[in-house]
Amino acid sequence: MSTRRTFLQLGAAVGAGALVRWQLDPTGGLLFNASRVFASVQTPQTPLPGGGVRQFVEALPTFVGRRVDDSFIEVGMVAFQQATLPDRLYAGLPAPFNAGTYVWGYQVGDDTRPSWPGTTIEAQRGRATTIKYVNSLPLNPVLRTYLTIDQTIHWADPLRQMGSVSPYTGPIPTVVHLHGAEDPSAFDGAPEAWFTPDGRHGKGYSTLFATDRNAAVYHYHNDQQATTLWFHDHSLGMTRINVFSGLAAFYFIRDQFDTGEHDNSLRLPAGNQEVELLIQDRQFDTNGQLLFPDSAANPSLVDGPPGNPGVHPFWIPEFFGDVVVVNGRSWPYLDVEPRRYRFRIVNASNARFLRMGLADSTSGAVGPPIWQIGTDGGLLDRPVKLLGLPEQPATDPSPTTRLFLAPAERADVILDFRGLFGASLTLTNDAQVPFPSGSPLAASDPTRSVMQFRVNLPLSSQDTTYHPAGGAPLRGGPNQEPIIVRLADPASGQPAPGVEPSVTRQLVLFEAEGPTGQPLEDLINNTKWRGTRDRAGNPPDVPVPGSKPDQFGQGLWMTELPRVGSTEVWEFLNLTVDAHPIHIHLIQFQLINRQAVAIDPNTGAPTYTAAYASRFPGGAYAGVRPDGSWGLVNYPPGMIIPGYGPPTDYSKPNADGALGGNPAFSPFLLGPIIPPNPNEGGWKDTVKVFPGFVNRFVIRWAPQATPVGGVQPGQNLFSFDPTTGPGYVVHCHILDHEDNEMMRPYLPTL
Amino acid sequence: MTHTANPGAARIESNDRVRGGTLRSVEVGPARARVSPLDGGQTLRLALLLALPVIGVEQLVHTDRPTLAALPLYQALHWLSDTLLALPLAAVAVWGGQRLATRLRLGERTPPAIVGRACLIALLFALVLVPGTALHDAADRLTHVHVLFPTHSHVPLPSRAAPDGVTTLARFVTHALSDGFVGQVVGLPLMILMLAWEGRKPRPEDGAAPAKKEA
Repeated sequence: MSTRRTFLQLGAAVGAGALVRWQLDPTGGLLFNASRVFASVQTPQTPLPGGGVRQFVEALPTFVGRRVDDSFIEVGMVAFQQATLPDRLYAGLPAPFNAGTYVWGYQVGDDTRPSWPGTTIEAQRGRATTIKYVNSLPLNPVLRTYLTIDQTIHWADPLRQMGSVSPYTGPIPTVVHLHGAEDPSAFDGAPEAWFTPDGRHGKGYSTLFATDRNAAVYHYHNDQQATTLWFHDHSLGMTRINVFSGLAAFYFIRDQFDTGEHDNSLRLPAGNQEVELLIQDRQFDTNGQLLFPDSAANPSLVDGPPGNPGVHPFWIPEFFGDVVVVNGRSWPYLDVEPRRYRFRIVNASNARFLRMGLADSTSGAVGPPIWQIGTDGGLLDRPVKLLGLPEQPATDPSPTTRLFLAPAERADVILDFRGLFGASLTLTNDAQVPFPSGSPLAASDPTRSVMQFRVNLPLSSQDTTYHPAGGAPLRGGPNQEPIIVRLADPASGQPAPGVEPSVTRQLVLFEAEGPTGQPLEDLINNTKWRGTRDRAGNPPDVPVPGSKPDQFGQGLWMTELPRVGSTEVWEFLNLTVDAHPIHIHLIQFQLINRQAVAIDPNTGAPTYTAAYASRFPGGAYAGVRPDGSWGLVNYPPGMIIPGYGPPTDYSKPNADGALGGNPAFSPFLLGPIIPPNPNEGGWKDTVKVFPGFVNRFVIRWAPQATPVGGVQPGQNLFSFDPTTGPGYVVHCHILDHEDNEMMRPYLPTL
Repeated sequence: MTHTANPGAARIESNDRVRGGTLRSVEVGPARARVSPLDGGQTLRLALLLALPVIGVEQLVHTDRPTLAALPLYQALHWLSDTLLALPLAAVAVWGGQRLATRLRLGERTPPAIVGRACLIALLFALVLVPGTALHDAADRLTHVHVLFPTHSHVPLPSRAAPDGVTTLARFVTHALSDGFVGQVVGLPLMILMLAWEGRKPRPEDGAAPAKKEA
């Protein structure tokens, strides 16, 4: 054999090797994408088109008569199968799929079965509830083989594999957050407080008293006003997966007025006429199993496959399903009497906004109005009428005639079915995905329907319940909660008289994108979860100037350290193209107003963005390089450095006198201030922060009922010490954002 | 390089300028040629059979189990591409090892001679894998194959103190060499088997000089 031939053969081998290697490139190689299709930890799934699933064929599961109101409750997190899609669909499937969809859910108390959502807990105001949460998920749950857990995002990481390209295959970390509760941070479900079935703990783990290694005992004081709370998973970088899998449930706080009994002094509908609706969107495969997009083989319905596979191989920026699920059942129906019903609604979707109205199921004509009587933190002073009229897709926070809920927002509503016997009404949705930058929903989009009300039950008794059309107050009267303590005046869109914020913070919402323009991560004040500037480890990362380390050993750096008892104004300027529901733990707050900023007609971006960018000094920091890989990037001066934090020292006031380290917002404001929509004028813990707007919140670190002027900075009126423990968080409640850096820790101080 | 067009009287050219200073030719007789199997096809065969297991072992050592299990096809293709890219290095090791063995007058049929040859080849392959590791890392950087692992510092990476260049180089060489030797745990036994197999094959010159006992 000749030497020439040998060399040619060697050259061919090297060429073939190089070709294979080239196409293994995770930033776009054909072989890389092809090999992912055969990933062994993923179960090959064929999407089930949501449009092919029959609607309104199964009854809505409710918790009427089954709610748990004990003062000590054990809540297990378990894996099981549940019929979510129509029963007929399961009947045609082979075992084990014919037994239902594999889900994870809460088993609340000893006498209930696990369910998705879990059985509602009813707590009494002023009476504490102690809950032992037990992570009883299997070590190798079936559902995990359907879920691709991306380990390249900053997440709980029980097996210390963070950064690995491999989908996670270890024990599932969980931790429970009681959303909207005034509670000690030790029991708030801090993202780092996770625990696994085999007893591994995160650095923020806390428990009331020593318990099983796979459990934590939380103690809720229930001092706040009667309202609709919900509890759900909150583990770091894993919330989107765990909530998607079913770990969510309602938690009502009752008081002496809103008792849930028929004889309640507010005369609100009760008993069978008080129904919780936990609304989510999901995607399924042809075996009736949950499908969470993760790859080119299973792309997101809206965003396609992961946009930056060289950095986050499986993470998608927002999950949008094509099946609407209410109380764990797809497009259910509810038989109702021709009378008033009270519905406690939460949008528990990962990312989908819901803009809902009622329409006649047959004619499509606009149905009766929705009367909103309560928000996240309790009853409104008076009901708000939402006509349900179809609107042009809103691209700004224009007043809405519909019930518009971002993920995690709740609404307490009354629907009046009197005089509609024989009618069927569809709860409709027309919010674009993502909101508002997405296209309007197509006429055939199955997510235009949420559920159906069939007014076909005979009237069991005369309806003497509260009539919202009468406009009678819900608060401030005899046998009612006092009127809302106003921190903001919803009529004028200004802080309420007597409210003197001690600090104003101006914070920027920013989206880092890869070279193809696909979202890489979203950031609050351009700061990552840890609060450090990322230099790819070389030289060591440095904390954002003006931040302080957390005292619980979680390795976090905090910038928001308000004094307990103080009142602050937080202004969020959203520089991204979509709305973000911002949720702040521990307290209920109020929306002051929103105000647009000037938009550059050439770029379509706020003019603030260029001014903001101009303040960045440049330097070598971690980021996405032009070829899509991750590493040190040399940023020139004047370019936004993702994860750098604000461009200047957080703690030094800007020209507006605001903390946050950003250029002042005021020179860029355009147009009038827009007061909150009428149905936003109550206590909120989650508010839609619209793009191109400054969205202003007034926040007071004190119990809701404290009168204006009734507390001073440094004075703690909570029945617990909120200045200790792992701390609280502020984050976007688009779960896919929350999981990937759009969350910051904070802690009240003395 | 080697010309074996005339197996009975191989003409070996050497560009060894250390000793000779100029290109020189060495005529060797049939017996010398028989213990210096420098056939290109054989070299490639041996190189491939050496590279496949050694690179495979190195990949196993450097990849955690979940990663292997997660994307098996990806791992297999990675193994294939690494092997093909390392084939010239393995060929150099085989060719060099055989040539060195010949110079050391090692035979090719007795067990000690076969083991000796195999050891030389394995040693050379471990050595050439040191620069090979650097080339491999460069290929990885170019194709981002491992970009997710070491550089995505959402992970709280330990701070890297900046050691001096010599220390860094020494660490790299030590690590690469150690990897190279680890790979020979599989490569060496296989090479012994392959050389024994090759040694059993009849050679064209065997007809002319059968049963000649090795020195």
